[in-house]
Amino acid sequence: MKRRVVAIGASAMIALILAPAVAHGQSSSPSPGDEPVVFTEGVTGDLNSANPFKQIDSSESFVSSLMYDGLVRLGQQDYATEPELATEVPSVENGGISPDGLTWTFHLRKGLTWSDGVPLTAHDFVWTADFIMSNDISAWSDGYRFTDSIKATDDRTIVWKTTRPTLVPGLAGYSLILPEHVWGEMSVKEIKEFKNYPDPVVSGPFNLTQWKQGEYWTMTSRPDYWQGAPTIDEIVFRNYNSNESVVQALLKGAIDHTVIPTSDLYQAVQGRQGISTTETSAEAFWQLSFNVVDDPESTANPAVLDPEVRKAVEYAIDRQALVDRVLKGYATPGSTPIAPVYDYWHWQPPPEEYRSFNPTEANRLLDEAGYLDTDGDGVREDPSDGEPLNLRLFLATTDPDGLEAAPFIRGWLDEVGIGVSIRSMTDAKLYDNWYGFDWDMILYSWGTNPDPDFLLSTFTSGQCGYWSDTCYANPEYDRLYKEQQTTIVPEQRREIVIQMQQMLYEDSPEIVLWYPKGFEAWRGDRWTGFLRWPEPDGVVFWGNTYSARAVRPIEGADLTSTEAGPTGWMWLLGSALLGGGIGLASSRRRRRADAYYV
Amino acid sequence: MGGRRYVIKKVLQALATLAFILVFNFFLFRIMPSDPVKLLTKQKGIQLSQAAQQELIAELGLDKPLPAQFLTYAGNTLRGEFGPSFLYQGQSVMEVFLRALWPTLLLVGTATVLMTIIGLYLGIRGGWSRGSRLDTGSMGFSLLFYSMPDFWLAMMLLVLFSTFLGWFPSGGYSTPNADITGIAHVVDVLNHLFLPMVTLTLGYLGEYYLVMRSSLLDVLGEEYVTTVRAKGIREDRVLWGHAVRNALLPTISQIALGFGFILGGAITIELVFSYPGLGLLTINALDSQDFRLLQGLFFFASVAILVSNLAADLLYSWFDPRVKEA
Repeated sequence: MKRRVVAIGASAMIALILAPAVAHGQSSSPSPGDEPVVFTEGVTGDLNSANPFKQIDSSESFVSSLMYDGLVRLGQQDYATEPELATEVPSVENGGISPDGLTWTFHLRKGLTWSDGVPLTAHDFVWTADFIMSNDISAWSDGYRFTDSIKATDDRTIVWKTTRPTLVPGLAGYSLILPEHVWGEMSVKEIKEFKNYPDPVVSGPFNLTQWKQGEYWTMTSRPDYWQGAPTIDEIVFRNYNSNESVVQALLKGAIDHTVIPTSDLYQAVQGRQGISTTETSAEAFWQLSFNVVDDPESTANPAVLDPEVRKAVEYAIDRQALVDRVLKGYATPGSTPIAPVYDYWHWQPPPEEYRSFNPTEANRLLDEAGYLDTDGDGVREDPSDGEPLNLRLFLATTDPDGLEAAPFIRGWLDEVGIGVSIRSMTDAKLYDNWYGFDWDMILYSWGTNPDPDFLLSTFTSGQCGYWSDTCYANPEYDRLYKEQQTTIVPEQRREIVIQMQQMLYEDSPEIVLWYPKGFEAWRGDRWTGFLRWPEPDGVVFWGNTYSARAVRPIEGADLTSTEAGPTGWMWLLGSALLGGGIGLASSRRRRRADAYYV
Repeated sequence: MGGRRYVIKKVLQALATLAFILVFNFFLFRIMPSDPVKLLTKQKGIQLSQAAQQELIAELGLDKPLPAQFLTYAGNTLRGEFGPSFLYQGQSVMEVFLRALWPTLLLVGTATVLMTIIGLYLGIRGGWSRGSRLDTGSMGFSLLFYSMPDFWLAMMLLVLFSTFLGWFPSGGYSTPNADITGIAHVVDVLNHLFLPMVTLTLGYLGEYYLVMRSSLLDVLGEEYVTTVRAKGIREDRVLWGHAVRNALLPTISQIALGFGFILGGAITIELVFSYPGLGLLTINALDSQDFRLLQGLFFFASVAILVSNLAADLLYSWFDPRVKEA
């Protein structure tokens, strides 16, 4: 009898579980031709704000680049600056930059309009620039450094005067144009709190049409976009909250593309049915920073202030082994903060100068600097006070690659007589130590951008307490930094940028360990037409407006959502079976009980 | 008389605990080793001038002395104002909380109801016929899932039923962009709810099962049960009318606490199924050091547990008047 109850219950459960399968089979009929073409992107970072003044994460910058065009942009082929809303990139030759280098003139294309049909004019640009400059909008103020004034001489002409010659006005992605007829109506406070949703007025190829925070947001293509309507109708960005879940969604076909965050997951999706994968160029870098600040509050071991000790540390580290064993080969050994993908700006130390793995040389440098192991315990002592040469290595618990790399580094430094204690901590705690100068070495990473200006600025002395990792201070470096900012001939600027990298490599305030590759994966069985930005191995889709406009379904591919679950009838049937089973079982039990005890 | 005094005593205790929570919640987030302004500026890649930093500090009210900050905080909290969230810019903590509240209520609420009903039922059946196949079977079943890490169980169910078999969606609360209403919408939400709900129910079923089973076994050993049986009462009535009624008492606090934990959300399960509830919100707030949001979430979660404890105490005394005298 009891077995019977279980059996009925189980069969009801099985019916309930099987029901959806049938339903799924029915619902995957091919979609009719007039269905919108939807590309679904899986994201692990939410869209926190649609107000470009509030953008902080890569989700927001991608959304903002889909919504707003700039005067100039970085070309799809090679990152070369090319005109977008402007008719041409100003230069001294075409008269766009005055001979003294202080005045830039941009001409807007004819017939540009906002998504609400109002003409897009030079006055919109001037309003946006004025607002950013007078309200210190940190996300954008970099794009207006050294600006004296920005004026519109007519609807299509922008005259941008700077206080000294600079390339800043010509940098792509640094300036913004918002519609004055919408934003200009509001007070400063209202603008800062403005959600810019629903119905944002935009100039770009896509507009934000649906947004449920924590769940998804939808960008709908604009058929009247001036460069031509994108080939797809919508991009849906779906929020997933763990890297594993987003990968499962891709394998299932619930999403069409995603960025893969780790090499383990990348290897896991490779070769799976319908999935295309690629590595993207290594733009970021991981570094080992030294606390070289000149501050009485610093608790750094004095040894790290000695450049020879820092060089010895670099000699002791086997970068290739880190790349092979931690990064599974998906990285390039590091040298300077300007990654080799930016080959125009990158300086690669010649082999004789490059401090590649050489423990003998490390030992020699340390011996020469006076750090000897006088008591024979395997750790060298500081010649001045006899203290053992122990260094603290801090890193964030959120950084899996760093956590794997740190023990390797400890092992190598141990070989040359430097003791290392590793401590991983939350970002918050790490920043506290970092800003409190309470550390010796930190393992961390940076993302980069095509123009080297920003990364170079992080090594200037004025950035101590802000962006500087190490509080490196070198007046000559600071001078060169200003000089490259005000040099408008690219070749001359390149000379200076290379000189700065040489200086950083010689002084070695931080060791650039590796440049990791990025990973992307997508449904290659459904989509084609991606444009790498830049060619040949730049990003496939994430952050890439060229691909967003050009991606298209493969002829005959089934784009039906695989996300359909059980239908209402199936749920009804399932619950009825389950309920019936329980009812039947209990009624039989009652009858049986009655039979006994009447 | 005694009953009223008991109720008043319990309510006063709850209020005292509430006051403690208020104080604790305030200082907990003040002793965290981080400077929110520095975090906002470095981590998120924002460059702020000294003046702008000062302005931000003032805006967050962090320039005032601690006692003043506390008074403002206590007043605001009691009025239900938790201030703006750092992470979700331009939105108040309350707004963000309310948005995540419904999905969590739905998920953890239905799962709690299910695990209570199924757990208690299996516990009663198992305890009644100890050693039977049903008993050993449900014991093994519930302990197996209870001892499994729930994120792992969630992942396995996701891989099997979503990725491999394709029967259920890959995550979220509803289908993005689906322009559906009425029954179709309910079904859509149900489809998304199913896997996380099943995971949660399976994962915590064991707690209810074990408490109910052992409590029933205790009661079955009591002499009054033997007396009832000797009177020739039907076995079903011995079980449901006499034994279970008394055996249910210890499960009341279990059930009340279970409901109290609803507002904490189901962090790991919401994470795996990308379910936009309070658990996920807590993780996001923690990740981005949004301590105002965290403060609000902690406050709501502790108040929910407080209220459910109070409810347990009161229900207990109602079900079992002996408690009042104690």
